[in-house]
Amino acid sequence: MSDPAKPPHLSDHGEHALPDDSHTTPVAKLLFGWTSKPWTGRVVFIVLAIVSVGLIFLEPLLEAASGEGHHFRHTYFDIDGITAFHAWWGFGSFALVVLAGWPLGRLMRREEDYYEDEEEPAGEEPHP
Amino acid sequence: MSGLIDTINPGLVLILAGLLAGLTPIQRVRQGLTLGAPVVALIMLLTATRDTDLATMSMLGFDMVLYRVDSLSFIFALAFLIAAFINAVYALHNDSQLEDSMALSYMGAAVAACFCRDFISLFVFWELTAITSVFLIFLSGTRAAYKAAMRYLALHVFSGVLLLFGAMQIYFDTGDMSVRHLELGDPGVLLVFIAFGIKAGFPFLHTWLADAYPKATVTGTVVLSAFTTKLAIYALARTFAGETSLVWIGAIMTVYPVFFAVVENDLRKVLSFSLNNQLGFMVCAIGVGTPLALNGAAAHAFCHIMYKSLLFMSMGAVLYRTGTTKATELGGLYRTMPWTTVFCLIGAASISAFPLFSGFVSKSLSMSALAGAGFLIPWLMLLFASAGVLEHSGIKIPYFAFFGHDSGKRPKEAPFNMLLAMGAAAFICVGVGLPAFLNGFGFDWLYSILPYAEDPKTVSYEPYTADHILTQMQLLMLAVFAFVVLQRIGAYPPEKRGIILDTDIVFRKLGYGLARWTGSVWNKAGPAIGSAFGGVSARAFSRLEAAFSPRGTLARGGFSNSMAIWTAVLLALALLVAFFIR
Repeated sequence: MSDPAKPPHLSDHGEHALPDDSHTTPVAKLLFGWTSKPWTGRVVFIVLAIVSVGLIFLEPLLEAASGEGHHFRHTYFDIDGITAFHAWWGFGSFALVVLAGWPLGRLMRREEDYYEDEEEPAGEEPHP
Repeated sequence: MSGLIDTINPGLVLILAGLLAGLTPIQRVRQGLTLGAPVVALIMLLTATRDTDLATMSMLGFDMVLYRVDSLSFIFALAFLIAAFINAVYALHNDSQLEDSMALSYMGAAVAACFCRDFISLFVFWELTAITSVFLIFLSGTRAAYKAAMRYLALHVFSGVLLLFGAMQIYFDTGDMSVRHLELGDPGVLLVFIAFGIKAGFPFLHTWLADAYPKATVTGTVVLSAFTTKLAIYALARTFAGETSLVWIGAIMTVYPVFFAVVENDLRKVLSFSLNNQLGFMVCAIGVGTPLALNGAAAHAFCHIMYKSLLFMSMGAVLYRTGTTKATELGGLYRTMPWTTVFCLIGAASISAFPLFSGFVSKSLSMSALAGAGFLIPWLMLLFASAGVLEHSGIKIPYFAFFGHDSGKRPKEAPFNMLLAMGAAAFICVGVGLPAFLNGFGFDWLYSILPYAEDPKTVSYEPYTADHILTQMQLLMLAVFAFVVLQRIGAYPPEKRGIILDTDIVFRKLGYGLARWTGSVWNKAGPAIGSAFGGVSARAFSRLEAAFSPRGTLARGGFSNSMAIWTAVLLALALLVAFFIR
């Protein structure tokens, strides 16, 4: 079974079954139960897309509404005067950081016992 | 009596409580000490007279100011003491005499250092923070922790030594030992700058942070996260405000940990990188040096202590229950740890600077100050880093621990005292971030305790403008959208087990390797050198023996038979010379 909302490496860890919710507390079900529904990924994507587009288009609307001679945005430089500059910068930065994780992981990741006799520890006995 | 109490540095109360805790085997008594000492110290701080030397001492001709409260030391000490109390609640379940003792002494040393206004007493408490805090790492008991703790100790003691050397040099140059504003240029000042830089996690001096913090105990990491680095931020704000190089150092500090954090698997280590990144924001603001920027640095430090503790506490709870904080082994924990999840999300929203949370009202001060001073490139770097913070602390931490793929782990909810501590920190994160509906409410309270609260730009500063809310939401929501898009197309790099190399490879591999190579060379060369030396000395001895022994060259012949007479004659001559020639 593949979860259409998640790419395979995140949803398929060999368990091939819906998570066991028999231990889930009522509070957890109420607050976060929606996050493990099959439709979650798609709905979150659509909602975020709508919100993002809304935030981008809100700026010129508010600028226009602030009237002649007034500026809604308080800018410091030329570059942040670009419409929805923060939106583009946020999206671009985030994508750059995440995509940089691919080459950086290959370049800098080593076995956990790379520094002899000091394998990165869990550090604690579990108290389940 | 009250006069005497007024002269006691509140940090000493914590240190004394630490000493007592070290001698007390009864857990209940220690709990009383860890909870009571911060409260007593807090009362002392709140009732202290400002801007007066409350305790001074003269030693070896140096005038020392041991206790002086002003608006800059006040906000840092206040944050430290609140954190000390919350940490005490968080560690209530913990029955470790040594850990309680060392944590209290460590927190006390950091608080005490804030009030010291001369380099000698600052040095004493500076080193005390290093020596006490290292036990919080040792105590997790693994070999990796031991080694990391030794590296941590070496670097931090070195920082103290640099501080002392620098201070002495400054004293010889100026005859003044007071902690005051300094200008980079003299070698002494440079040494002090580097000493502060080590503790503040400057680039290339930062490796101890992500190396040691994730290896400390569950409660130890929470304690560590609040004090050492923020003490360095305080010291930088006190001495190097307006030093322009700090703008660039800070900007670099915000950017590079972002890349480490994205590939790191251990979530407590991710938080350590995130801590380094946040310090960059403060260092940058100190570099700008205007009252608004310094207010930004102080506000950021205050809020940061709260939300970073909160995030470390939530990961500590996960570690306590599951025995790991590796992203590859976690996921889906919200099912049985919903309250920890809620608190972690509040910490994540605060550090990401969502409106209504503390990061929003504190970070915006320094961002505005930086942009207002015309630093375009650093400003863009900080904006980039803000999206990076959202990636690793805002999304990665809660997502991989509590949501994401189900690990199948179903641990119990965190112990009640941990939840209480997290709840208190979360309350401050939200309370400080709220709009000022009333005077002294929400962010207005925070702004009223800032070092330059009267600064006109700060007084008129309003974080909740439509412009600011919109631009911040654009930055954050589009970044979240990027996350969802990358997840859906499978471009988000999967978490993998492994460690990430950092610049400390230079001394952990090359330096250590060099030391080992030198050792093995010595093992081989040593005996050879020893035997060669032995051979030379044996030959020299046999030559000497051949010359001077009773059977030697000098003992042969007529001369030697009358040696006793000749000796007596020589002695007599010497006596005569000494007698007649004065």
